[in-house]
Amino acid sequence: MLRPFLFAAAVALVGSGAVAPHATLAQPIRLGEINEYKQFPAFLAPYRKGMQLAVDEINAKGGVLGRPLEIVSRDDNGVPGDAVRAAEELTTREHVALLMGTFASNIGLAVSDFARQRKVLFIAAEPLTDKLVWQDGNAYTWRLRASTYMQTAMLVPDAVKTGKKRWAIVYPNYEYGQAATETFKQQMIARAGSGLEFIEQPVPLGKIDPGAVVQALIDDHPDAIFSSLFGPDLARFVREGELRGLFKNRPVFDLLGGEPEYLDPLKDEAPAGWYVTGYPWYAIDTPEHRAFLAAYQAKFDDYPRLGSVVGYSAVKTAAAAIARAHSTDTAKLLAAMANLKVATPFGEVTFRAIDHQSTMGAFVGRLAVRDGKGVMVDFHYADGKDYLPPDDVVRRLRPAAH
Amino acid sequence: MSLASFAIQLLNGLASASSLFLVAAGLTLIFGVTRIVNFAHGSFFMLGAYVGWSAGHALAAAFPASQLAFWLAVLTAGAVVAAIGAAIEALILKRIYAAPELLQLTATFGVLLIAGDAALALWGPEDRLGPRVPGLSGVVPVMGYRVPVYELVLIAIAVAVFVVLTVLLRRTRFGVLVRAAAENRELAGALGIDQAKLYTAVFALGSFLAGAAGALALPREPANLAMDLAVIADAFVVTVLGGLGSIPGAFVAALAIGVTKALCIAAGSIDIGGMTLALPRLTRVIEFIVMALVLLVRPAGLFGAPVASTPTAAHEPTRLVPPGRVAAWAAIAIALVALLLPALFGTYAAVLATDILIAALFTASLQLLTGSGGMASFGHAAWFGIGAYAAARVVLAGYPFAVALVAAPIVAAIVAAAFAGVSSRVSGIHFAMLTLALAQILWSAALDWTPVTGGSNGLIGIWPPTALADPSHYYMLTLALCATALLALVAIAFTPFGYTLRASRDAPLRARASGIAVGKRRREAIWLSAAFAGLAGALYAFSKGGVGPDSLAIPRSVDALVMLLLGGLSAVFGPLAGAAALTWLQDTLARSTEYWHAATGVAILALVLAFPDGIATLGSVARTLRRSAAAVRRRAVR
Amino acid sequence: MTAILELSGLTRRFGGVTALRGVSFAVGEGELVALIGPNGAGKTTCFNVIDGTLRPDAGAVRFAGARIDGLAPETIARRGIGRTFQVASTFGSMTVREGIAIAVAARERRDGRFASGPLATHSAAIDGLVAAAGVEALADQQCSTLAWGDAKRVELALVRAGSPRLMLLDEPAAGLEPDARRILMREASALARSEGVAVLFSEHAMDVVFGFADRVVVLDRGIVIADGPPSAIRASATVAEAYLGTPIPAPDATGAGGGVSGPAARGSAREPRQG
Repeated sequence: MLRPFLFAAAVALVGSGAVAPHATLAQPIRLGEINEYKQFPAFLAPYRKGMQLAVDEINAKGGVLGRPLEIVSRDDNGVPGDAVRAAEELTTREHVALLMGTFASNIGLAVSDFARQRKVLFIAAEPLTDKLVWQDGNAYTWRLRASTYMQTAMLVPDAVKTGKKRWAIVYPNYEYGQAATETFKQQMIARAGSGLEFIEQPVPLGKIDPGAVVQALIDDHPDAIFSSLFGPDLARFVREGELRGLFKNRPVFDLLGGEPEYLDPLKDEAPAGWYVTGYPWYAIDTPEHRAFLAAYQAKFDDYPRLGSVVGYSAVKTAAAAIARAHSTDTAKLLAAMANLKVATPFGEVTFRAIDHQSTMGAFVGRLAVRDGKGVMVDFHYADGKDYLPPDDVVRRLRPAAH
Repeated sequence: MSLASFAIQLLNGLASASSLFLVAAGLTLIFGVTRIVNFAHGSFFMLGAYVGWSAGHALAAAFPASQLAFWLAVLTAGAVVAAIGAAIEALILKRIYAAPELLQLTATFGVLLIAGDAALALWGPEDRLGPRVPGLSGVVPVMGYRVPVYELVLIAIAVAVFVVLTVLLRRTRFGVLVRAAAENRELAGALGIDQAKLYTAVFALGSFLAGAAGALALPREPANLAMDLAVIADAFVVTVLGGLGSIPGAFVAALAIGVTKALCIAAGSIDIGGMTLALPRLTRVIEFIVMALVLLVRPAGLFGAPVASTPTAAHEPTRLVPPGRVAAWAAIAIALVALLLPALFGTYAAVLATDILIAALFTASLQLLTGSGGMASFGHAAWFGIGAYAAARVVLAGYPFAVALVAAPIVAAIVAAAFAGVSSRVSGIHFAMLTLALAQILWSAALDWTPVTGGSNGLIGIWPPTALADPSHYYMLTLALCATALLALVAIAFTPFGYTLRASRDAPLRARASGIAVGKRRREAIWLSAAFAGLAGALYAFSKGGVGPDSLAIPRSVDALVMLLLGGLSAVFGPLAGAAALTWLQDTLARSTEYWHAATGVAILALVLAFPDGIATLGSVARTLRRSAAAVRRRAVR
Repeated sequence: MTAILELSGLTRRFGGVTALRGVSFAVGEGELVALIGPNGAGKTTCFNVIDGTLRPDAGAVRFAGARIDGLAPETIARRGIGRTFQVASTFGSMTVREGIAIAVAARERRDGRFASGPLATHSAAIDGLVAAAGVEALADQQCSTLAWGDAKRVELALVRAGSPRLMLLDEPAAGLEPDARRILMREASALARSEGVAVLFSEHAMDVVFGFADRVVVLDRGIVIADGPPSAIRASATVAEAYLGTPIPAPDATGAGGGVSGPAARGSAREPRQG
């Protein structure tokens, strides 16, 4: 009979979850981390490694305030409600000093609102939505990664330089894609003036119908293309577009196309010549990055993705805040976050007091194929601080928190 | 749009339709014959892609620059997945054919969870783009456009598969058996068909098609971990739209959806009376809109014969036993523990229990509809989400919290009453799919109607008043409301209405001949159930401080079904037990292992096999204990 | 005798098949009428048209003087027509008592109430029906587990719970032992005699037909070929021909073999098959 065994197995399985965490000598400082590990594994698996590296480095040097750091990580399954429950658990049961993490914008916003409600610091690592620091910004939430607005703004100068007037915009039809599209249009109009035309092609996230979309874009006869696609949608778009000749003689911009998470699967089919933001880990020649790269490769026998940098920097941010505050008290941590300077693999970034956005930038360049792999060439580091609106505009954009 | 471009878009639609048909053909075979709502079919597709990718790489070395590697990889993927499918049928599903059919859905959901984590463990998190197929990676000029050769190949394959399947079903003994089983299960049994073998064979064939379809998708898209869910809903739509078990139906339905999608994309934004309608946005749900419209006109789908059986009808009806003394004491004990929970176990226990109570109420509302009413719903989240959004809007409009809690069930009930009126001709699995269509349309509307719903980010800042801000306090409110609502639902089950509903489920013709207005009672059940689900949604919104499209999405509907079946379709404490089990399992497993989806899947399978009538059915528990004891005794004797 | 049920010119087609063509006959108050005919003659279709499950393509059904064709089955049932099905249909998930209670609640228009307390399963009316059907011992048994004959008795109790003025019994004796069928039919005829309930029943078992019917209506391929007292029908050459030239056997000669054999010996909670 199989049934009793299965039942026993279920009990055993459940029981194994109840194993108590081992005790450590010095009381560790716990960081509560929440992410969508099941929904965005391509980004978040390297992210987890990045966090691990940072924790090990910090603890090897004696931790923070003489205490080791410990990350208590939770998977929210991509559901904001589950993220909020995880946040409740981390704050009430695990007594974490602060919350950090999240990838998707809706989850980031839900946790951010939770942080405001429960008065706890939240370091949003990855969510790109502008609302997190602007429209819905609050005193408790700080964001590490460059926002949709910033990343889009980084591509605009090159887009203006092309002199193209008729733009086709293809984007995943949810807040990130919509915001990227709006920002791109606004900034293009502001910089390149009149006579611009935009044709939009929203596609359902993860379910692009590449043949029809590429064909529709060809029929629109655009001069240039701006895309905010990523992941499987991007791969399908690239393959179909190359085949059908959509990209021939047209400059193409893709917001996240240089991130190894999305570029590497394309291998030798990486679309050469595209303008992208990304992370050319193989060619960044700064002391900070060289050190990070060496440590990462030594530890994991793998190369870092952008997620690795974000995870690593998020932990460094938390550590820097606690060190600066000399405490894990929320009020002191919040005070420490303002104008906090953090050393990241991309160099030193600052968390702006005005809108709680860090100045972490991104690398802007063009794609090429080398040795059967997609790479970024002719790139430069776009410092985040140069791609944010003027302070008076920011204050207007962030009504609630000021 | 020029004529040429229109023609090419039709061709594009045809290519997507071909891809869709290949997946759906397998599903419609499985579904048509075994009536199993196989959630794992999308996983078979995904596994096919991954196996195809690996096989393609391995074979490319053996046959450099030859198409042979690709075709062998497709066959390998099909064969491997067929073996997996047959094994799942024989080892898992075969054990629960006597149980309610929705239990098999629950089991396949467990398989889906396991398959996803298995793919993650075996192939890693990165997308796997297959190499282009030598000789088929180019384009051919058609009417001045470049059309990828592979898309034409895909169309040809779909036509070939269609022909082969049609011949198989029309001209072979196997086909006769399959058709007999699909059209009339009792007749098939009477004809002396060995159902066990037939079911395994059909599962293997359907899985082969899904696996091969996955590998055939590789030249167009990378193998990735989101493929399973991306394809499963569409495959079901094609199956139901075409008519259960109908291969021509699946072909036409896939074509209708593929072409409609392509034309929506081609049309772009159009202006109607000053309003801009972005048709490409519709592609997110166009398949559900098409299906809903067809089902309202033709309740059995395009090629489907009217099917009287509902997903729950084939199994011997279980009696809903009125709660006696033991149940009353159990309820009191549970209530006592619940009241002391925050004091005994701290704030987080209250938070978790809040989620469990809300899930239990949501599940209990589904029990009224599906358990008592016999109407399976795949889109029950619609009412939950409407309640959540309604509550959020009421509060954002400046009204008090209490008003929101009252308004949410009312709004959900009103929408449900309208839906019940429209859908009254549709029954069984078609009704279930219509509820799914409604939920998907609402979900898409929530994503697009940003000024009202906040779009993909949803609405935030929806917290209860200060007095209830502490999670323990909010828990007490939730406990009071959910306990009342749950007791009300139990009470309703034993009112004349509750009995009438079950009478209408057991024997609708008998019920009508006894003067029972079956249709009216069912419509009442729909809006009543929606009201309770709406209340659950409102409580959820305030417990999470917000609401988003996920409150309307498929996983939430599936959760309700899984919790209901785990707990027991006809068990008074079923919803509470199922909600507690699944919520607690997920909460516990998510923090103990990276592969917690698989762990949850294994637990679901174990519970489903051990307690086919649900963990809250005392008889089922007693049976299992007896069996375990007997097994132990036997071993001791040896 | 005034007619309680009048069929005039009923026609019903299924695709190319005409199941009823111009069927006209009447049933008087308190009268026991047998509807007979070979398999496929249209007996069940006729019942389904009367009880509202099917709409006639032409013709009219009058009950107590009012047109009822086109009304919903539940409405017709509430006007006072009760029926049984060929395969006895009960409420499988309920006990016998609960099933009868819900039928009583339906008659009293209480079946839709969900805010007035639980369904009463113990009342004089329910106990009376349980006793009248002779199923006291089975009162708390779940209907899906009833034996074939018991299911028939319970179904009859469900019909009686509706206090009908006309009962349609679709092959009431099929599958029953001779003793059981006599008991069942005596019950039906007693009801007709004492309470004036009209009964229209279809039947293959000729002992039942000629032993109990006041009048016999013969259907063949959708047409009424004879309508008259049992003695006249037995003598009719037309009727004999319809039964493939077989002379109609005498009532006491038929025994158990005269009827069609019933399906498996176990009752079923499944839906009756229509058509």
